[in-house]
Amino acid sequence: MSETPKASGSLADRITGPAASKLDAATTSFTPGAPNPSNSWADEVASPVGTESKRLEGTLEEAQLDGATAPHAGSGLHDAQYEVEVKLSDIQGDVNSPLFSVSTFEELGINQSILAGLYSMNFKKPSKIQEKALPLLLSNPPTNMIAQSQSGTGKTAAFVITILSRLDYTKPHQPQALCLAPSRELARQIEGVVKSIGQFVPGLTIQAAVPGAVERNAKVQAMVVVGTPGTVMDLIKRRQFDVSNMKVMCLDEADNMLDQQGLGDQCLRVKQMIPRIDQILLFSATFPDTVMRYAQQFSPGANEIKLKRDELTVGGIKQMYMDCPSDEGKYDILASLYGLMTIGSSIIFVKKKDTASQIAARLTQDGHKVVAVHSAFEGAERDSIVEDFRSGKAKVLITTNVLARGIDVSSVSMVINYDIPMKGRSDAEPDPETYLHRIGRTGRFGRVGVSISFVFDRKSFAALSQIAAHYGIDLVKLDQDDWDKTETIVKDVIKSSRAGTNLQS
Amino acid sequence: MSQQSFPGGTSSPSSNNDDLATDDTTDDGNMDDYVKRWEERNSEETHKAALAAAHAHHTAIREKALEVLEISKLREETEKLRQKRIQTEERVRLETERAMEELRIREEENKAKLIPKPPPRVPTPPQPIQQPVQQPKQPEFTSAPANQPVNQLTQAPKQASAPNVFQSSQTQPPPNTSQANLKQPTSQQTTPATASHPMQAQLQVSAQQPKQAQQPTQAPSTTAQRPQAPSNASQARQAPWTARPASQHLEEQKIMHQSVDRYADIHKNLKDLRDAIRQFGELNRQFKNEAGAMRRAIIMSVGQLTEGRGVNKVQMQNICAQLDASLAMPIPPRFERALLFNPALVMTSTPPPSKKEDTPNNGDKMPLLTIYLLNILAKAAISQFCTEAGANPKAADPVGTLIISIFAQSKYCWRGKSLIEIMIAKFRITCPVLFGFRGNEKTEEGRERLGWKKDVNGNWISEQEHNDRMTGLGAGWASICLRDFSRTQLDNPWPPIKYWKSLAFITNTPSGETSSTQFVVLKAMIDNYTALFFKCFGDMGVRALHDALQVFPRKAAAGNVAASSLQVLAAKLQRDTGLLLAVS
Repeated sequence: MSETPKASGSLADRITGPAASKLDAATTSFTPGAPNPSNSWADEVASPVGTESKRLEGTLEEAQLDGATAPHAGSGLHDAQYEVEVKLSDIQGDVNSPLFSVSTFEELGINQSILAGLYSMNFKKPSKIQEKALPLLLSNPPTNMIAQSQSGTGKTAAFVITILSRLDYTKPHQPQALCLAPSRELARQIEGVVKSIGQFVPGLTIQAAVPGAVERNAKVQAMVVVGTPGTVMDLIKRRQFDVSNMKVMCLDEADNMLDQQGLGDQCLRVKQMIPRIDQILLFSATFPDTVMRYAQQFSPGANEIKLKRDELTVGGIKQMYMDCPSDEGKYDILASLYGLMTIGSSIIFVKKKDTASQIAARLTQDGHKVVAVHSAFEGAERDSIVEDFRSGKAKVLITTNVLARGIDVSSVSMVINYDIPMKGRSDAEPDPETYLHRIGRTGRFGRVGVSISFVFDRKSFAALSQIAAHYGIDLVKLDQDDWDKTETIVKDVIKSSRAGTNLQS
Repeated sequence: MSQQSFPGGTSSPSSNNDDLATDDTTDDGNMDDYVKRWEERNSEETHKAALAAAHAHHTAIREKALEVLEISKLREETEKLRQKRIQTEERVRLETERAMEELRIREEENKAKLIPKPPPRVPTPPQPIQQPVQQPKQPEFTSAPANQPVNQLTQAPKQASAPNVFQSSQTQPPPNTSQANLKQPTSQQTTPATASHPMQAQLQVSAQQPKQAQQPTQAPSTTAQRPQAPSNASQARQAPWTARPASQHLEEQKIMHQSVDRYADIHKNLKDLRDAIRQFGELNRQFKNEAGAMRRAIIMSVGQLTEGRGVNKVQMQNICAQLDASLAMPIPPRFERALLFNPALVMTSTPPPSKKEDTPNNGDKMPLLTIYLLNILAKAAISQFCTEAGANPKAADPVGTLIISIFAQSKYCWRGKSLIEIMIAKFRITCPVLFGFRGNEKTEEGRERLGWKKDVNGNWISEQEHNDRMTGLGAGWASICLRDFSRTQLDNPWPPIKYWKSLAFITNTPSGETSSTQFVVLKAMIDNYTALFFKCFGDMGVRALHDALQVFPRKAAAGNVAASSLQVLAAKLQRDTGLLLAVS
């Protein structure tokens, strides 16, 4: 039952490594259409219904006393016993969804005080990556892990739960877990997630190690340290950061960190300066093959959870493109997009800093609350701009690639590729990884999001086409001539079910 | 106590144990001691010692007295608190009982409605098609004399679909109305609003006359009903919020319950209205483009709202500008039928024309486009709740504030009454648990009753998406209901009591019938809104939260995650605000 070959899309089948058998034990009830019916979820679903309807009959009068049924007498509880159970296909229809899972956090054996934090954050059930990874992550002895899962599916929560579960709470001033991220924003964000999930964990201490956050000569005295590789390396060198008792080390956006020349070296140096680490975790939404080999050296003997390339995009993100008359014409079109659909927060990715400023001015004029982040802003200023966006004080963020990865603002419902992401010498070729990470800023945790890419000439059109071909996705074309029509198209695209996407392949 | 007594004093030496043994058997040593003491009886030391002893004695007694006083004070206080608690409990009990009784009455009324009645009196002139059309939809009509308020509600659609052009005054002579009937076919193309119910429209014209005749008798009977209901403590207490007579609350309360199904009608009427706009737009391209631009302006502005005081002025102005433009748009006479709309179609009760001179929109109709835009505004808000606030519940607050302040403005009212029920009708469809609906999430019908949405392929949306929607809508409901109008001249069109009712509907669910949807909605309603809630309801609010966060989750099946997160919310409140919900 564990090695069902038919569910080719399921993560379980592609998990390798020593702990594979443990995983199977944890997920026995997962496989749909399992040969053992008494164990299947279908029965769990069915049984309460039967008993409940019997009970309802007996307490009909009592039920009516409190009146909820009064206004619609006859339509409500009277026919409860004839109600039809929800079709199994409806419940299990999304088994291939990265958010599908059958277990609960309780079943994964997570500590009560961590659970309280998860509930408080409105987490109800583990996502697929959490369900698969957590039993491996939490098992003893600690084992390394390389995990890949789509954007917005709860990777951060998975490793934060692991970190919180590994700490020795009798040593509140001893650094025990280190988390590295490629940018200060991301490090700050992870710090926030640790604080949220750990809000009910007594005695938890946490500190950020990003440029400017730790004073010279001050000691790092928190159990969990989240930082950027350069700063962490300096702190260890200057003996401000005692790494003698390190239990977990985690790299978020690992492919990005190991791939970049500077960051990769720094990560390696940090790792070499730490005498002993029980568990090394690498997480990302993308792991290009070249990086994968390096990752396996960095985190030896790791359990691996990987995805196929065509499973990378999340079905909840509706991808469209807008054919613009010219490069300059993009301003007006951008401004008009905002009336077409319900938008919470939105992110606009541009190539150049001055484009960012121009767009910001234009949108502010239209009544939007806009912030712009690019490399011209430094340290704390960047923190506070991103914080404004995260808290919803500003609802439009214009940025260059600095924020393409990892930033998780759950209410982002639209991502605009104002310029198509390019890489290589003089931007000669399209950059599918960056495209994926950019659009992954929306559609967080199963929500619906929209991504619209702007093309205006042959080059940008060709680049976008190549990206679409790379992931095997169909992009919907939008038109700027008739906004009523465009509005209808956008509505239909948003409503369209995930059946047409690669999630159910 | 020290024993420094001396002979002749009031306290005898025999009280000392040591002395007791030696007193009778007087030997030399003792005698000497006695003599010595006798001689020193007037010395200063003896005197001082005696004083000290007296002082110590006094202090001890005083301390004891203070202690006793303290204890009795405490006891008294405890007793007072106990009395207060008993009183509060009694009050809660009585209020609950009152609510129960009211519900029982309603139940009976509903039962009464279901009793088959003899065929209704035939109105003049007789219309053969009237009965089959009306009866299945509005059985209450037949029991008119017994249920006046209901009658009033159901009256709305009837009056509404009457052809509008020919109904400038209420006392229209019958010949005119028949003329309207004759003309209808010719003008149907341009009247999409009424075109969808040509039959109904026809029969309404004739039904209207006896209706109007009834109206004078209706008024006294509604007022006569008021004293029937028991006095209403909880509503009187929120006086600072709505300094309006209790009778009005009673009326509203009835409306809220009895009109629950009316909201579904309103929702349907709004859909027809949208079709009407679309159809008219097909005939008139310019109108279509203009309406589209206005719609997108409103949707954009709602999406721009952010938290904070005074940061949403531009958005508010922009939305008002669209609404004002729609009110000011000139309507050529030949389009009046198509472009004027009877707002009673989207209200639970039809207000009489206001007697105040300067009441805006005091006539029979309002521009169709204005109602449409209000509908778009409500739709945009619901959509914003479902998507944005589902992910970030705090985002609901500015939207709710905007909604209630626009619907409270008199220029967007009809005959002085707010059109906010357009918004409420949408809540009724998207989040029925707020109105007391329940369902089993594991059955098709149950999910339908809970407002669980289906996607375009007819599959239920995922649990996660559903929970997100319910979270956003719960927060949105709170953001609309819990607004402080004490510092404005305007009436609160949807006062906090509506929030209390939804809270009560959910928490009074019997244990076998709870659903995760309820827990999710309840959590979203409470989280971030406790301060406003306590401001409205004070101690009773604390008590209510105790029920909602600590008693109600226990009704859930073991291991219900949504219920657990309610309990976590209680813990969070205690941690962050020091609020203790436990009641002895």
